[in-house]
Amino acid sequence: MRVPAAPARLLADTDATHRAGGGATARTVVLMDTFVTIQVVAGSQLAGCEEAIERAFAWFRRVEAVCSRFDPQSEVLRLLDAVGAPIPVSDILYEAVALALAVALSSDGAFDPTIGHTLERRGFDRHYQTGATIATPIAPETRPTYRDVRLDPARRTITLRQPLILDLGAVAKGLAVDLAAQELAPFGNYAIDAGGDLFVRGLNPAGRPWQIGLRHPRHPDALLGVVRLTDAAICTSGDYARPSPHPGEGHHLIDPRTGRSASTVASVTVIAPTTVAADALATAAFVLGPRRGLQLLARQGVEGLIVTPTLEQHQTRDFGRYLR
Amino acid sequence: MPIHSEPSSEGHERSDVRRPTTPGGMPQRKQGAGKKLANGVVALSSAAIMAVYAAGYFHTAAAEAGITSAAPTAIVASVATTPTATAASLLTPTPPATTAAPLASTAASTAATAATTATMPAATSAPLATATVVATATPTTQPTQAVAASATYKDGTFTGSGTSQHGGVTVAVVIKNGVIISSAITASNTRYPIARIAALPGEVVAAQSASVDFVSGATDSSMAFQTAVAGALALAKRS
Repeated sequence: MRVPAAPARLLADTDATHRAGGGATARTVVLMDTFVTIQVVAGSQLAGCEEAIERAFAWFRRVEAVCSRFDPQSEVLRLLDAVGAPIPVSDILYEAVALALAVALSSDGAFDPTIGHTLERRGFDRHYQTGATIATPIAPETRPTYRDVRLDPARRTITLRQPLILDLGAVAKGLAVDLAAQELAPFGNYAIDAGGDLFVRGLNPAGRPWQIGLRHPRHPDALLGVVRLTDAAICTSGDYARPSPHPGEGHHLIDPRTGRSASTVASVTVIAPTTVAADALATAAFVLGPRRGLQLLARQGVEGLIVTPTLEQHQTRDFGRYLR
Repeated sequence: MPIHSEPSSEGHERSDVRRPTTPGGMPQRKQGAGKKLANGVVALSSAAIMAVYAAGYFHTAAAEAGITSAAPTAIVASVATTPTATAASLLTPTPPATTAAPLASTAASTAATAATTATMPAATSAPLATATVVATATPTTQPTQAVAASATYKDGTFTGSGTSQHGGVTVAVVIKNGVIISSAITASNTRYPIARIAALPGEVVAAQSASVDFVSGATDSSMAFQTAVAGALALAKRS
C-alpha cells in the first residue's frame, strides 16, 4: 500500500549535546491515507503516556469513520439518505462541516467542500486501505456549492439542499490532529506529524523548538526550507502530493469554481494556532493563487508561504521569523 | 528569487508595534485587536475543537474507576485550572441534541462531559495566547531551556566517498543555515544498479544525519553510502 510522500515533515535535531533525558516515545500508524507519527519527549518517564498516545490515535479513527467519503458507511455519505431534510449529526461531523463552510465563505468559494462528487469522477475514488472504489450515483441539478449545505446550530442538524458529496479532506485530518493534541496536553513537549499536517508543542528532544522541513515542490528529496516552531500547527499543501489517476488531469487540489486543478501555485505552507485552520486555509490559498491567497491568510491573521511553479516565494509579513 | 510580503493583519495594528513572541511561536496579540479576527476561522476552529473534544472525551479506565476525566485543554483561553472540576464547569452541559448515534464513547460517563457546545469565554478576540494550560497533575520533565541555534555545520556543498566490495559511491551533501537541505549520489562505480540505494539521499535529509536505514539486500552498498555521507559531514563540521 503506497502512501503519498509528505509535503512537510519533522526533522531530527543534530545537536546531541542538549538532548533531554529520556529521548522521546514515538509511534507511527497509517491512518487517513498517511503516516501519522506521535512523539512525546521523555515519554517513557511520564505516567499514562502510552495510553494517551493510544487515545490520540483513536481520535484519528473516529474522525475518519465520520468524515471519509470513501467509506459508504461513513456518516458524511449517509447524509445522502435524506436530501432536503435536516439530519441530526455527530459533533465531529457538525463542526467539521461548519468549519469547512466558514472557510468557503471567507474565500468566496475558492474553497468549497461540496466538490466530493467531482473528485470522485476525476478518479479520486479509492479507499486507501481496502482499495475499494466508490461510485456514487447522484445527479445534482446544478453544480453544487457550499450554499447548498445548511446548518442548524440549535438542533445540530445538516440539510443538503440537493444531492452532493462533501469532501472533508482538508478539514478532517487537521481536526484529528487537533483532537489528538488535546489528549497529549498533559505532556508538555510533543509533536504530531500527519503527513503534511503537523502540530508541535514545547521543545523537541534536543531542547529546541521543533524543526519542520518543507519539501521542495520540484525536488522530492530536497527541502525548500526549514521552519522552527513551537506551540503551533503547520500545514503544507503541494501540487505534487496526489496526482490525478487520470493522465493529464492535474492533481487533487481542484478549483471548485472551474472544476480544474489549481495551477498558479506549487505549494502553500500555513502556520496557525490550530491544525484544522492551517490545513483549510492552506487549501483555500492554494486555489486563490499567490496574491489573493496571501491576502486571505493575512485577513485571517495566520502566517503563510506561497510558492509558485516558477519557485517565486510569497510570504506574509511575519512568516520569515519562523524560517531558519 | 523575489519575495513578496503581505502584512499579517489589516486594520488597526501599526506595523511598528512589536508584539511579544515566544521563540518560534505564534506572536501574541492584544485583546480586542483586530475585530475581524473575532469570527475568523482560527477562533471558530478553537471553539469547534473544544466542543468535539468535550463531547467525545473519554477515559475508559477512569470512567470505570469512577474518576472524572481530565479536562480538555483550552487552546486559546488562558484559564488556570487544576483538573476536572474547575475545567468541567467551563463547559455548560446541555443534553445532547443529536439523536443519531454519534461516537461510541464508553465513557461519556457523566452528563457533565456531554456538553455539546463549549462556551468560550471572550477567547475569540485573543486567539493566539501561547500560554496554554496543562490540565493535569502528571509531572512533566521540563527539558533544558531552549538553546540558541548553534549550527553544527558550515554552509556549502560537501562530498564524501565510501567503498565496498561492490564498488564505491560519492555523495554530495548541501547544507544551508546548518541544515542538510539536500543530498545526492554524484558518482558511482558500483557493480549493482544504483537504484537500490536511490532512496538513501532522501533519508539523509529526513534524519539530518548519515544514519540511514540499510536497504535489505544491499547492506554493503548502504554502508558505503553511509560512509560517504559521514565523510561529507565530517568536512562540514565546524571545528
